Amino acid sequence: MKYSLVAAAALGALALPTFAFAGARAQLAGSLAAGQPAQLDVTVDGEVSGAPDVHVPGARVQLNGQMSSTQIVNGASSQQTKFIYSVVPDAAGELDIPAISVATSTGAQTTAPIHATVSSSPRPSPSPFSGSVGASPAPATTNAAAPTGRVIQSSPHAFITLDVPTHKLVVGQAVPVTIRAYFRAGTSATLDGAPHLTTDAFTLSNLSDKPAQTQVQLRGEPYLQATWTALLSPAKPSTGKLAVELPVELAYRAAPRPAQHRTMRDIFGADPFGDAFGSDSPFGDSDPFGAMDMDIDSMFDIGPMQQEQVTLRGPTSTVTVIEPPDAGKPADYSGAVGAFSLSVDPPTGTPRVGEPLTLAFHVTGTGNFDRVTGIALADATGMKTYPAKADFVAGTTPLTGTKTFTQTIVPTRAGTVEVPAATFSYFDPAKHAYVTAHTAPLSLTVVASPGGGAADPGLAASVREPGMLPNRVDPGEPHAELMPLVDRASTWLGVAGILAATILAILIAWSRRSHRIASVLASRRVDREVARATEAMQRAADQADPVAFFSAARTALQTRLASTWHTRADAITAHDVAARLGDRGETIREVFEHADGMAYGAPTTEPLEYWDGIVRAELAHLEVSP
Amino acid sequence: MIRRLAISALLIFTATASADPFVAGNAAAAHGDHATAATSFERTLAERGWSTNALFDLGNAYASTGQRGLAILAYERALVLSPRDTAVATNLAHTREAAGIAQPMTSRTHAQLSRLSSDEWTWIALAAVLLAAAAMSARAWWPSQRRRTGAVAVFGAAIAVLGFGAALEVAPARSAAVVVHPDTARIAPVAGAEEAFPASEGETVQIEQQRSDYVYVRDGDRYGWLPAHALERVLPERAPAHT
Repeated sequence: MKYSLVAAAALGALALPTFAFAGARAQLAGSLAAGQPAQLDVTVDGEVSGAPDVHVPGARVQLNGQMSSTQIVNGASSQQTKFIYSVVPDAAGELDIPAISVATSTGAQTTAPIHATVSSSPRPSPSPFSGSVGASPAPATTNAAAPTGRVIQSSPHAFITLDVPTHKLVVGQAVPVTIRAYFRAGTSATLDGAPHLTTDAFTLSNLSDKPAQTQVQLRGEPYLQATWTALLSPAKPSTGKLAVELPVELAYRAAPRPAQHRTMRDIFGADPFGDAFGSDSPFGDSDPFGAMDMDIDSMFDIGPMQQEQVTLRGPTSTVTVIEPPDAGKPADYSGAVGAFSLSVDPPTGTPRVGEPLTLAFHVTGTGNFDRVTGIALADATGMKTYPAKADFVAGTTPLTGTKTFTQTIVPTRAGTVEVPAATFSYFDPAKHAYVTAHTAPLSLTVVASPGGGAADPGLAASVREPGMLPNRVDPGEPHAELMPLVDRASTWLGVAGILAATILAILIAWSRRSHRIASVLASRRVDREVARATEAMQRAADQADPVAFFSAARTALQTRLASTWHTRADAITAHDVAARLGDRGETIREVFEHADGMAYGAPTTEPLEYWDGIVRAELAHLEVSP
Repeated sequence: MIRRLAISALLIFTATASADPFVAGNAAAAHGDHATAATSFERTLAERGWSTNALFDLGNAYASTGQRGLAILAYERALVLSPRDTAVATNLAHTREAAGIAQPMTSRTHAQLSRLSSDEWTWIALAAVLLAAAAMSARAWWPSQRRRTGAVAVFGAAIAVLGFGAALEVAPARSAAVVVHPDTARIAPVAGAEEAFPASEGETVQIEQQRSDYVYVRDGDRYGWLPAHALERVLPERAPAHT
């Protein structure tokens, strides 16, 4: 597992929110040693007109570079500038860096003076944040050899912390811990492994696979923070030191050494523009390099790149681990430590003799659920029990969740069967006492099995393997076929039969509807033709045209009779009328004879209005009772 | 005299009880004679037909004699009849675990549909077919109700399609078979052919084709020929299987 964490100084400075106070502040990075450079940062909020002059009695000070960042929050912008100096003390002893005044757009800002001690020999730089970030102050450098490089408790470039919520634990207890590694902006870090503890008296579990990365500002310095979460469990009683280590490969630019400072003159041997133009220099007296003994490295705020493999070791803290007391330890205590509650889901359905029922015991709470075991009922009067199965569902926060124990019980006799209470004991570190949780006993009303016979208690021997449910005494309902209905041809034949019957029913209905519709349509057609003929009668009567009148009257009567007799209308004669209707058709027959007579010029004695009434009455009569 | 009568009655009762193979099987099982129990339960199935309880007890008997393939087969068949029977499912899972056979993976849809048996789904579908048919007929006979009857017909048809689909999904495949005797699947249906994969007792495989004494089976993504006697179909060709 290797992760690369690159904290880019410029990006970090731009991206990070500024939590530092407004104004100006000076900070000395690293300890001071005679003749050795140390970094002095002067950070100023607001616009500055130029780098402040820094004079430290007893030390050489040189400006190495500056960084500016602008932050825009809700439309309001703020600017911050950091000036980086190197300070080289002349000799060991006390060193006072006086207040530094910086001219800004809002006026002069002044830093607080710094008092420091200069050692006589060079030593590795302690963390500038010692005592402020870790749990214990004043980290000391350790030069213990390790496979991944030297062990350091902190450096200006990286350090690690371990947050333990409590320093007094009980064996079996588990507590969530947070491990944070900090890498200063501009430092490239490659993790050579996961964080681990310095002692085997504790175990670290559930360590997050990848650290959460975020950028933070510590005392005005941008840092990349890598955070792991894990569970810390003591393995045995102890009182010992606990720290965390992280193997990591660091790459960073070291502070520039004075001896290595190079100027333009160093590079070119002389002023590159001094001689080229002679007295006719285009810059006149303002040779851009001639007047400057400028430090090239400081122009880019860089020193030489350094890379090393180290093991970061966090501050050591003392954690006391005790055993749960023997006094008052319940017999069923299985090592669970935390705070839990116990409940039971009663079985659903009607309990029957010989039929299995399921009980679900739920243990909910916070603690080491892996030690929550053995919640099950034993055989009791009227019921046989089987081993329970456990299933754990984790909660949203570490160490929380619900462990469910599902147990099968089989009533062995009808009547009221008392299911005893289940118990679960654990050690509560908050109360520093054992707690035993109980479920409420259940009362089941068991009915006889469908077969009528009570289960023979001897049937428990019908299965040899534990955990299996015993034989049934009722043979059950027999089935002639095992093949599912959907796979049987008879099923699909039945479906086909239903569909065929449906189609037949639809066809019959359609056929009957067709006859009825045809009849209605024919009736309507006859009505229309009769209506046309009676209109022609009316016109003929109005025109006193007896020939046309009787012709139309005959047509009307023929049409009406034809619809009843199911024959052609023009084929019906007076003879047919006489033959079929007898005396009842006398009037109709007279109309037919008049119609024939009119064609040959025979006169009629009655007026046409008389015959109009006669014909209409006959038509109405035929429509009602043909 | 009374003692003689009592003994005679007991003998008659015992003989009558023993005539019922199911009772005899349970009596043998209660005394730990699981081989006799298995034979009796096989007889029960042959005489009475398939029943969940007889298959369950048969599975218990086989599991107790160490014949886990036959036990799993009996439990599988019991689940065809009673898919919601938790006792059968419990013993099947236990036997699979004891045999080192992985529990079959089922989709969530299959698990939801399996709340009803294949036959129950089929009955629902058949009822829906009848409903749709009646509605279609009514629509033809009473055109004034055509909108209402049409909606009922569409609803019935949809339920029928879903019901038959669920029944087919829940029903065990006709090609499913359980390895009742462990053997080695080979790449060809001959005894000396190269080995394809070992078929463990109790594993469920799919029969792809059958050729004389060998069957071509699929076990996941593995294929091979197994002797026909090593397998038993979950849904037997004939019913009951042991007549």
